[in-house]
Amino acid sequence: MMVGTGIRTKIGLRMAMALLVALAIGSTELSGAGAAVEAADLTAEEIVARMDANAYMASAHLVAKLVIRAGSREITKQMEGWVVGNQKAMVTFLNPGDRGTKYLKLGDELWMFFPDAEDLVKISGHMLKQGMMGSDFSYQDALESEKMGELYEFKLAGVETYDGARCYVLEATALPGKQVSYPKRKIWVDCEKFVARREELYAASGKLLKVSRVEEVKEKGGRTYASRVVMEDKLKRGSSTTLIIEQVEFDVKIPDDVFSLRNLMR
Amino acid sequence: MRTTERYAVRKSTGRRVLPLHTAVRCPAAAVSLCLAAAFMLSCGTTAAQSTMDATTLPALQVGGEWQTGVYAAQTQGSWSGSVESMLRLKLRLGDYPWKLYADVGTTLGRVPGTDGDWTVTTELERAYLKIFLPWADLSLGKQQITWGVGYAWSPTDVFNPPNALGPDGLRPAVEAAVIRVPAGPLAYLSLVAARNERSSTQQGSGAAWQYGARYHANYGGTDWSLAAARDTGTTMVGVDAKGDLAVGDLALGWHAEVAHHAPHDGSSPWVEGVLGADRSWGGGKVVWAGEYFYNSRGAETQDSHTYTSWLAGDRTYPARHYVFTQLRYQHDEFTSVLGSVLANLVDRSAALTAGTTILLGNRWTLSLSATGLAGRPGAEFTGGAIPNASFSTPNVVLKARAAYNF
Repeated sequence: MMVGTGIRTKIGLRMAMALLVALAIGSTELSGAGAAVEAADLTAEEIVARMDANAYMASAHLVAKLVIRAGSREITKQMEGWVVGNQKAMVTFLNPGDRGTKYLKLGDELWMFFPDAEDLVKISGHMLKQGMMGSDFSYQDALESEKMGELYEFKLAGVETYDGARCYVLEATALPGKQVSYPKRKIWVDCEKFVARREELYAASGKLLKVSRVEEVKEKGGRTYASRVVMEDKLKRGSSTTLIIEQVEFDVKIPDDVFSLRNLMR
Repeated sequence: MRTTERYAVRKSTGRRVLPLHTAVRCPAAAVSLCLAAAFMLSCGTTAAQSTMDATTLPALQVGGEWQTGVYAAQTQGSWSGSVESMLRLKLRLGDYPWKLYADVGTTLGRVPGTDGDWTVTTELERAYLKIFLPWADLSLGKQQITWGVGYAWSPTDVFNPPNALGPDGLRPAVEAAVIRVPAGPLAYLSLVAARNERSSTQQGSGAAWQYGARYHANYGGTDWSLAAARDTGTTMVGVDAKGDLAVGDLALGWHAEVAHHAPHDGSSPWVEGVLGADRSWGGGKVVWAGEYFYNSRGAETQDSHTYTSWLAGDRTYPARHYVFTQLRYQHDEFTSVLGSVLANLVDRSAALTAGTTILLGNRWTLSLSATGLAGRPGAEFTGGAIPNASFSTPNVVLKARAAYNF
């Protein structure tokens, strides 16, 4: 088949979204233990360093839900995921329409397994811009596993109140030579919890592509995490996806063979 | 239904193959449709309630899909139709290291282009058990064995190759034992022993079993495999690979597959190959993919096309050069449309398909498609060259299918 290649066009329709795990927990959205300290007079680099440090986790196991909306229509997908660092992730879908569909991320590569066709597919690089499982999160959103501070140059644009919280406003421009999904970003970072409350994602031309916002933050084991994130694709009218983390365990021991083609095809 | 008709129907319409010996003119099969629906509804509630507990409850987990479809074919100005229904079940008991899969299909219809009676047929399309051993995974029963990376063609897949006219469909299952031994996170060795269905329907056409081995690995970001198999009177050796190509801002996915077939009777060997590419635009809203298929023993002129092996159920394509291309547009999260062309470059006949798939909520999916077969009289896809056939190839095939997941 040709997903990944494109054709496997059952493709697109049954596409699972794997690594939102990494999105929700790993990449940008979180703050961690000890982050709830009032930060004053920090530079942009220091703010980003705190975000990056707090986002790091050794491993996680979670159960989450994706609510995908287009206008008045809505579908829900459920998934279970395992993540180690920012390089390994395995996600399996649990909802009836996608049950058994799995994703494996190792480094920057992604594989998908279609249980009905018993078929393993390596996702082509250019397909990574496509929405996973028909959601507003792209594969690349999830695959960007490097720390933000290693991908972008940041500028502190000011401090604003967003959704009732004082936030640093950071403007990010991709560093030369770095392959990123969005050449420019604007991020509202909670001054106390170092959670990115809102993020605007831009093309190189300056066109607004997507907006993500955190609707709910929870704490577990001394770690603060975004439990409800909404992503809106500004190129698609009335389109949004809400990622809801229902259960999560941090720093759990996950055997290496979980992240293998063998496990993907089981 | 005769073997030739069975394969011709599949080849010309992309429909699932009608069973050979299980055609039964009885109301029982119709009843099975009702049973399937009833079972689906009864399971649906349970499955919905336990979805989030699927990985933790030590109870029997039941899931699956029910599909029903309506097909209409126009042949020489008249229309004929059929109705198909299929129930797919997946069973797993708690965390026990096994899974059981079963697909049951029922068809009400007749061969397009004939005046034959309407028949109801029921077939166990797949039924197999997966057992997860500490050092390997074992699959036993009637199952799909997906070898190769090709989409419309997969030359190394000697067990159940795809149908170029319906590549998105499930491949016909074969009775087989498959053992997959891991050799690293991204590598495994697959060993297969499969019953050759064609040999049981063709007298004297070779061994009753096929055997094969395939090693899959990833090197430098490219997936590749080496495969070897011994099938009906032939030994196949092949290789496939799939990767990415980036030249400046141009990013392409590519895949290639080659198989060398050596007959045991000393006749000339032949080579089949697939070269494919894919590309997307607009953040994946528009996806193009294409494949070229080369068959060294295929005919180079229309007049020299031979359908003997094809009509006997062989996987051979009669021409030397084919192309397949598909363009898909994802309108929104719920709706996609696609168009595809499968062409015989030698006799210049083609099958053109347009279709759409619509998600109707969390459980229902609706698919609609139309296929037109075009070419000069006597060309492959217009069917005129099939000698002594008791049927005709349709000019147009319409399909509507609904699927319910539980």
